[in-house]
Amino acid sequence: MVFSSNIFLFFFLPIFLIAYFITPQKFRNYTLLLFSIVFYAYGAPDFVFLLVGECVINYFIVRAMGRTDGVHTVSTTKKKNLCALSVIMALGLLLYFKYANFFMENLNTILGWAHHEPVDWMKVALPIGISFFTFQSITYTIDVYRGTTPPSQKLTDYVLYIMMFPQLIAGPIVNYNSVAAQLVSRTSTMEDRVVGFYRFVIGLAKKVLIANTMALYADHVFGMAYGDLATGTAWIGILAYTFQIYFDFSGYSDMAIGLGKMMGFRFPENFNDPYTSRSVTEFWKRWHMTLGNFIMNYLYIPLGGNRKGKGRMYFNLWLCFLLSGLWHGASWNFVLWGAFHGLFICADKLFLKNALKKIGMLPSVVITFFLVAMGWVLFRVDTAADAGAFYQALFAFKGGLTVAGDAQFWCVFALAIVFSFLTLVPFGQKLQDRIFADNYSKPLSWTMFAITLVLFILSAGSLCVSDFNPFIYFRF
Amino acid sequence: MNKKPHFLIQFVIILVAFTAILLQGFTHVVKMKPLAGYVPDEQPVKLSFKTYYDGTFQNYLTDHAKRNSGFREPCIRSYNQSLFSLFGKSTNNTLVHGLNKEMYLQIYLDEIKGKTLKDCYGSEDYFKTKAQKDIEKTLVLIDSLKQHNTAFLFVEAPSKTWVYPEYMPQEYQDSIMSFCVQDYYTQLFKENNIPHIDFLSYFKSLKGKTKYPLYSRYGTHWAESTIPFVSDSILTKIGSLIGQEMPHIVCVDENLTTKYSKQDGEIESLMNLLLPIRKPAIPQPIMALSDTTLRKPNILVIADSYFIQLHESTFADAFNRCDYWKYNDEIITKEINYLGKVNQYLEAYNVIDEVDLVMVVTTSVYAYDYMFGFCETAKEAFIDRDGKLKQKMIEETIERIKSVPEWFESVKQQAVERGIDLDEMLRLNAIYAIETDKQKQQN
Repeated sequence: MVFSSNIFLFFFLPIFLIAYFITPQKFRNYTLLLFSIVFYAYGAPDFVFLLVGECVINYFIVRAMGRTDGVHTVSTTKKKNLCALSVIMALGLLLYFKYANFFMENLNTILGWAHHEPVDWMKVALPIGISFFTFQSITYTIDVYRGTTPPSQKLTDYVLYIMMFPQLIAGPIVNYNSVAAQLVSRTSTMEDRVVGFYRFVIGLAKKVLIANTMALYADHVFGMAYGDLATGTAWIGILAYTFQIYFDFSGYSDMAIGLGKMMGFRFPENFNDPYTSRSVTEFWKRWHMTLGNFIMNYLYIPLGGNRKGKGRMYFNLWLCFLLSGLWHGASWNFVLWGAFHGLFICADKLFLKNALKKIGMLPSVVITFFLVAMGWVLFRVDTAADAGAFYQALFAFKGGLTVAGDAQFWCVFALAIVFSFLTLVPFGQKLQDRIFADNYSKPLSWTMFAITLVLFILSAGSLCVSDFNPFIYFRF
Repeated sequence: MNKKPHFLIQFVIILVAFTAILLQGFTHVVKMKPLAGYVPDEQPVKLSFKTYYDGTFQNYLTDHAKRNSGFREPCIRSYNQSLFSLFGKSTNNTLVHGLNKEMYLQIYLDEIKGKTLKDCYGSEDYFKTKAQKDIEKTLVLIDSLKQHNTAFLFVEAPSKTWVYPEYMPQEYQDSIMSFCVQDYYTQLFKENNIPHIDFLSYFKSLKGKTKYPLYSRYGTHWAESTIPFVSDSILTKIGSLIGQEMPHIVCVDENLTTKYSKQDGEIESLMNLLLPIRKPAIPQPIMALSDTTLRKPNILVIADSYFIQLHESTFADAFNRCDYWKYNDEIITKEINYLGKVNQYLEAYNVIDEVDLVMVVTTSVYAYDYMFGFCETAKEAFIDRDGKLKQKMIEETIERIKSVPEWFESVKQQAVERGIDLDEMLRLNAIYAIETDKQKQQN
């Protein structure tokens, strides 16, 4: 089940909201937990028990690790071992379900080169959301290990932290420390609920009205033989994908944050106008910020960060991005994408960031956007060879196969550009700050309410209309 | 005191709206104007461990939710209207916007660019071979019908794409196939003296010479304004085939209107918009028969949707019985004993004994499904019926013989005495028994 689906919008969400708000405050966590389990079980009937089981086991491991009677604490060795056990268990599941197929494919390729028989292997299915809940589980374990936060006192609260449906499938990656207090006690004012709803609908519109329109064009271009593409079409295709991925992912995050706010949770922001960045370094401070924070706090800093000399710092940076690429997908093109960004992060540290500062804001934004878009080629294609062919199409400056965009595509494309770069101008920044404010004046709130109503109807209509292609008669 | 009561009001509205959406989704208590068009029925899936575990139940629920979401009709219409008003496009991908605001159905565009021919037959040559066989079957059918004093007529209805290719989107104009399947059948009909009316050539000859368009912009079938002369042409031809005078169609009133009804507005209705499109006025003529005292014959019509307009107009009043077998599948008739599907009734084809003429009406898209298999099904159920019935009676009588031990023994003995195979002896005895019974009944 996804947020942008009829079954979620018209059935699951209404039932959940009614049930949640009529439940007395002290039982609301149970209501949320029940609906979250149903949400996950709907889409992953074979993995829901795995997830719940893993949560239960991890809860007890971490509780044992964080046990203290006020005077004596668990020994450091035992604490380390339990922490390692918890992390290994979480990473082990991730490695098995997400990377076993990748590993076996590569092993069989190598065996093929060595003229050996390939190993028979039954492909493993991927539990949805595993990349996100694994990282959340790790933040909990390590935060307790570091003493940043005590372990959860209730099993149900911990399971809720992992399985809460707003952020279970696609983030934001919420570290335990930031929501621990909210799990135990939180309030949601009427303003929170309504503003949360505004945010949810804005996210829905970004996904359904913008991202899906861009996706139609991008899928068409990327479905063609890259060698035959006209250069102009290749460029429009990658730009369409660049906007698709941003509005899709940020839209989903908006929906998660909005739903959380309705319930009184304050989830961290995940996107901050990333395409207005003036360097790749800045891009990663604005794109998927919760992933960036996770990588920094739980990988880069433990590896030594920048405290062990410049050489080690560049290695750490590059390794973090390599692993980040691999986290996004079990395929060499994702690894290349990570390496691509790692390279430019290192280049920023060396010379690039300073050089971009000198040439002015607009050129640096354009160059950074160009680099990010080139990175998305690696992200979108299936193989490294395909990436090469697409880059060729981009820079061959030749004619070939074209895809004509219609008026709707160009209009939405223009809107995507405007919304992506709006905050480059002061008026745009002010407008965004007003729309995503914490406090709304009465006239503004009614304006927002009217806008979200229209956006909701259009988004709902778009969802209802997809795959609805009636014939005149049954024989047509 | 709540300092921000507007948020409370908005939250209540949100909750009430979601509750209403939910209730409407489950109960459909508020009657909505249904969306136009046909979509295949959903296949219900019962919840069980297996269907839940393998995801088929969830897929069914997801599809069911899509079809039954509360207030989906106004949501769809609002979205469609916004897309049409802003960008002039439709969300229904079975429709294609042409030039000059003309609209087409995708299947007709696929047909004219040769995709249907390629999908169904692979090549022109293979189609021509198949068409020759169709003609042979048609001649057998005509001959059999003649023995039952029933005439035959094939009406070739013209599709908008072949008459007005210049309004198709440019990409289709650039790829019109040079071979027209309907024209090929016309040539074969002429060569084999099969009674037919070629409306495709006729409509092409009328282009630019008529007061009103031959097709509605928002329709795919022949316009209502053409029904008077189409009906009149068919009635005249029927009269000549069955040897009796048929009435003419008289146009009583042009009835110009911007409210396109029936098939003139079918594509517009399929777009499921909130507001009607501004359209030029076209006739929806009111017709009458020139003479209602003439004998009204009976006809059976096997046709696609091009016959709907004729069936629902004054044309059908010229007949005592005008049975319409839609796509040779659904029976539309005033005879209450025969409603539903053709293949539900063993005796359906016996109607051929009661009609003066069998007429087939199809357009280019259905030329690939020649007569919807009527030649074959009529042969099976009607032409060969006597032979089949007799064979059935013989088999039943043989079973009767075998069930009576004395009779069976007697047959066995006869087979031995005459040196004949037992099965053959049984068959001869069964024929004798049937003939004897028939004789007794006649006496």
